[in-house]
Amino acid sequence: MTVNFFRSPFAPPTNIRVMVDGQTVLALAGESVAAILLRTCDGPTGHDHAGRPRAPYCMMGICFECVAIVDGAASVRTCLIPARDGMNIQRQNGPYPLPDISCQGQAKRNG
Amino acid sequence: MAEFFDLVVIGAGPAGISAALTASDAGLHVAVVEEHFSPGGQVWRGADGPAARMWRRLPGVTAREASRFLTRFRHSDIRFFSQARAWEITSSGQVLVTDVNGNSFTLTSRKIVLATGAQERTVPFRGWTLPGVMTVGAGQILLKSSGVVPREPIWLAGQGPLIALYAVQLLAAGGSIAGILQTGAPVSWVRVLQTLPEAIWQCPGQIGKGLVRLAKIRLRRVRIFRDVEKIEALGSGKLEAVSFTDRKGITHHVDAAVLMVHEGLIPGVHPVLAAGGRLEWDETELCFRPILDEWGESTVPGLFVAGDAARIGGADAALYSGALAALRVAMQTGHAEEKALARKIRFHRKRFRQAMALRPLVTTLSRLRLEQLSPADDVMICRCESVNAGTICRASLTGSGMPDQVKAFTRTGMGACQGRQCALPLSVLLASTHNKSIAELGLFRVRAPFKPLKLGELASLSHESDIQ
Repeated sequence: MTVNFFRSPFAPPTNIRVMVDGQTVLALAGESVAAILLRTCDGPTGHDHAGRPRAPYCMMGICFECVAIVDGAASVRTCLIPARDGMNIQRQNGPYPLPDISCQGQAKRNG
Repeated sequence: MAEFFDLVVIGAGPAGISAALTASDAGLHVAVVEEHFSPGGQVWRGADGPAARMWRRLPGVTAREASRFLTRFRHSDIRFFSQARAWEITSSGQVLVTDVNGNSFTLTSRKIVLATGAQERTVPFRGWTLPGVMTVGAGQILLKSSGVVPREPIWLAGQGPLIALYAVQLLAAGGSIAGILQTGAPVSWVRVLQTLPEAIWQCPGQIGKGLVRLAKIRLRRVRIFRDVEKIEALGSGKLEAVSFTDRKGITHHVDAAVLMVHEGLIPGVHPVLAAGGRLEWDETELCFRPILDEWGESTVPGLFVAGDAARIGGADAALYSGALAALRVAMQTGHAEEKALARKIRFHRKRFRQAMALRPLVTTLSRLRLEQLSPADDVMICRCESVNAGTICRASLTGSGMPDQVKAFTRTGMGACQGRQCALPLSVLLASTHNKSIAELGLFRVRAPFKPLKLGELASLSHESDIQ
């Protein structure tokens, strides 16, 4: 496995642990979560709606290629999120499936 | 919790911070809404970050200026909403915002300054969606904010001053560069001679810095290919190689882990469009920009645009245009008389003109090669919805060929980025397919919410009225 990004020799030492897809990864508090994904994933940090590999493109909130599931919240632009100790990051593939909400109560009311 | 302000500024880069501070000094009640978690915009990105010590030592970083403004900003009584996205500006001056927890709220304001900055011009090419391909701006933000550099071999491609800036910063941070592929149109030396004297006269320091950067790149023996065409990113699952044609027409095939592209900066026009502001086509810069008066007021009364979102000029120009917009707002809201502000206005106008004096030379030295805007049929134009140029051209021939109709036919621009990346390439493609001018075609219509919004976030607005 080869990742395409690494920490500069002049970057400060890592000081937190986060989870990426269940793996523990050392990180720097306050670095962007997208940077962590780029340093941990071998190429794709996610896939588009058609299953094609994608990775962060703009790093400034425009492209939405860096979306992931962060602490349970889906479709989060990780380039805009600072890393915190214990954060749970999961790669996202395509649009996040909507939760299955029961509509029966609603249907009864509309009866 | 609807709150009332004299001025709401959207964006906390140099233009936004300068506008907010100037207005606040004049006694206005000001709020700033910023999508990122720290202020400073892309140009000062990293000043407050975890790699700030490294950032300060990078070449081309204006650390002193950044810390002066950011410190003043932090110690002011300006309301700062960070990690908050503004997604609608209503005709009655309300700004609708959602915070990072998904709670939405309304800021009611007498005046609004949009300081949402620039974006890198999208120039689609074969393979540009592969992991390992990103913009030079993205690479620079990675370095400045997180101390992250790309693995070798790395190639930079495109044109514009940002490439040389990132190159020297990357070299200083322990990275290396396999080569630079220059894609710009041939330089008109007549135009250089016309624009050089004014640039030297007004911005000698900037030109000196530029020359030093080029010399540093030369010293590190980075290979430079000029007049490069037909760049393609190749690989399965991620970038593995780059192919391109050099000035002699020879095709090269090189190993690559990372390819960073940059084809100049353009104003980000989505927010002003969504608010009903009109745009004009700028033929020298090859981009749309909002129609503004000398203060930066758009065609929507009370809505100002400052900094690179108005016109690309860089951080210095942004500081002065932000201040000018705020001074105008102070006059309009009755906080100051024009006479009392005369000296300030003169100062900021002069400095703004000085900062912009470099721009004609920059656009002369780095100009987009127009052929790059007519990509082959299989090249993806809309990344979000995966629509290629061929699909767009075929769909456009079955109807009016107007951007909005093509959007409806093909879903181009309906994805998560809301067409921020494909709007310009789409209009350029349609203009060449239908022999129309891009100025008359315009861009497709932008509506609120001009940032994606979850249904729950929209619904959370109702809590406001519950509270009242």
